[in-house]
Amino acid sequence: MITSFTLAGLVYVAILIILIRKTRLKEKTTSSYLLAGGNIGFVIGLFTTAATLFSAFTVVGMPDFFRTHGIGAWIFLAVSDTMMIYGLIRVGEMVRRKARKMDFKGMAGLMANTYGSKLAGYVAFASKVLLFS
Amino acid sequence: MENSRFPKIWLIDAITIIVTIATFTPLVLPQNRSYPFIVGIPYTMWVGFLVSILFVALAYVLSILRKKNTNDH
Repeated sequence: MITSFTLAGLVYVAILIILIRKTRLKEKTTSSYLLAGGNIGFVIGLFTTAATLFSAFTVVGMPDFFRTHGIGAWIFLAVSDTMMIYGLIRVGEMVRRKARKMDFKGMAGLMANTYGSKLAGYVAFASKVLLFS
Repeated sequence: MENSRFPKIWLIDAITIIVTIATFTPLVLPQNRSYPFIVGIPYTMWVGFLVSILFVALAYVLSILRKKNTNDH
């Protein structure tokens, strides 16, 4: 068991190293750092969202959720999440269109730009840090 | 280009809204009924699988349309 885990871990680390070396950028900009160049595509976007959503709750909370609510939990877990991915792409396109006109980086930049004050950007950034930590 | 693109996006949106509403109706969540089974999987579960696959497909089509739009500019 431990050998399999070690092997899987080594393969995972090897894949990460290969990908890091392959995708390493020589020219680093704010856009490439914050927004992955501003266009990550469908597949990477899907996996990024999945990685964000599938947290400890999915591993620990969801089995209990299934135990309590039966297969209706699947609608909550997968169906609502795939709906959300559609919504994210749809709303993201609108934000992107706005971004082209206003030139900002990230949601904090959008807030700062819209309200004409840096404080709005800091509030958006702080709320995000608090929400995701 | 915008004119030919928008009806498509609104069509995808319309399908998404219809599927979203249908998901929360007895069509997907029938009360006290678990048949027909497919390979031992109860009705709501396998229809749920199909709905998730459908949403992924819709999101993919949307991303293609969005990419087309990005390339047009």
